[in-house]
Amino acid sequence: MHKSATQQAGLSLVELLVSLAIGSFLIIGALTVYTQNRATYISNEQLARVQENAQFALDVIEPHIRLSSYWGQTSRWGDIAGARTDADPNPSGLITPAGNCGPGWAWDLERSVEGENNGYTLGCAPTHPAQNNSDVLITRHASVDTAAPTPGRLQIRSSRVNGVLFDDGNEPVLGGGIAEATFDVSVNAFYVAQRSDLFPNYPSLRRKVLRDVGGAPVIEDEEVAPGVENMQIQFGLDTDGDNSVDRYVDPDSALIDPADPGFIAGTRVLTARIWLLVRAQAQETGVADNRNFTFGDVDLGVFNDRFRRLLVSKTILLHNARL
Amino acid sequence: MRSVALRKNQSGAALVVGMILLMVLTVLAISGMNTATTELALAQNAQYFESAFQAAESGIEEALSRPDTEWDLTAAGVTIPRRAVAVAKDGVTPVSTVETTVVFQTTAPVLETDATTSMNTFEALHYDARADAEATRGATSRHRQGFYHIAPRSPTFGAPTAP
Repeated sequence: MHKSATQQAGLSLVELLVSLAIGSFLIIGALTVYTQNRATYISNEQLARVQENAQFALDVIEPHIRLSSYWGQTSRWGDIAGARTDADPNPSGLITPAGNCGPGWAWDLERSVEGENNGYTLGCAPTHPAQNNSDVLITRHASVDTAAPTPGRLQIRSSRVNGVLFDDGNEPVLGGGIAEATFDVSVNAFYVAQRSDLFPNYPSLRRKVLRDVGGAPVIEDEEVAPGVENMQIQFGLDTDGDNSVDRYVDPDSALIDPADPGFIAGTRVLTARIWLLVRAQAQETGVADNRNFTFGDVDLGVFNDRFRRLLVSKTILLHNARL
Repeated sequence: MRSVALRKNQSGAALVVGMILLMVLTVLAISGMNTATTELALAQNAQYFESAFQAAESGIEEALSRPDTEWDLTAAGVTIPRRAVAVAKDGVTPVSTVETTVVFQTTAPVLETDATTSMNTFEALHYDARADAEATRGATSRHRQGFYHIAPRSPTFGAPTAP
């Protein structure tokens, strides 16, 4: 360690070249490892977001399907006074909610679970344009918990044998010596919009939902889950009364429309099958979506883009629904 | 001699560079691991909830399939809950527990449209089947289903009953 300055000459050219070559190999290797790690991280993130959105969307929709046609303590819509009938859309003069989707739409208890096939034709306009080729799912039921009477809220007073719809906050008395209680009426119409509130080119699952705002009933439009690109519904019908599903039909089938001549009396909806196609928000390098998406009754073809997609499906048992 | 001196000069730099690279990779690996752990927990929670949910559903089905004799309960609605434990494939590890009760609710007129002629001979006995299920990590599911069965009318028909 006692060398003079003259002994410490610089590197020779060969030494420099060799060290540079080795150094650059090392750095290239490290960078490759880094970029690959990062790509894995990003694709994991994207996949996780897509899975979460799909799970969340299903979790929101599922209880509404499962509870449809639950009217407090009874599941017979025909014993509920004030429900819409084909002859009279509003038999007990209930307040029509702002943004209503059709005559008596909110209290059409007969159609406790229904849908629209591959299009949006509700009488209330969607906030963002609805997605083409996607179904609309409408569910109606009473809340699980009893509710305090609230003016402007569509509610149901029901016992084991009958019930009454009301919205003025004055609980009607059913009488008959059977225990009765008050429940909120829950109405939801799920549909897919072409954009989300935040991103113009990102489709989202939205819903029309019955609420009360400032003492008056309102049908509000809100975003449920971004990323849902298409929704398909099919209903499992029991047409012969043996409590097992005989066939699956699309929401526009004559078999589930009591007003259609093709309707078979006594047909019950036993199950609902739902498909959700969920998409990542941004295109991703290395992803090539060349799958052909065919589910429900749509054939969306091959997208041929670089979005990560996930198709989820669930079959849900309806305990209460009948037609 | 010169080469020895050079090696000594360069040893520090290699260590530092190596440490920096290693640190970057460690940070990436740890954040990836954290994400994976969270995802796993999410998936597990969903699975445990599904276990509890299905256990409660099966509890309801079990209650509905009990023989009639077990439905004809006292008007006070006191029943002994039934407990069932589902186990994993190994036959030991518990997956979910469900406790089911059938509680008498009330008697009511028969509502079936084709039963009008027997209105005075029969009555509907209403029950609630209640199932409380529990699975790992505090996942719970509570299901309740009302049902009735039609029985010959009793002398006390129509008397109000506490729910």
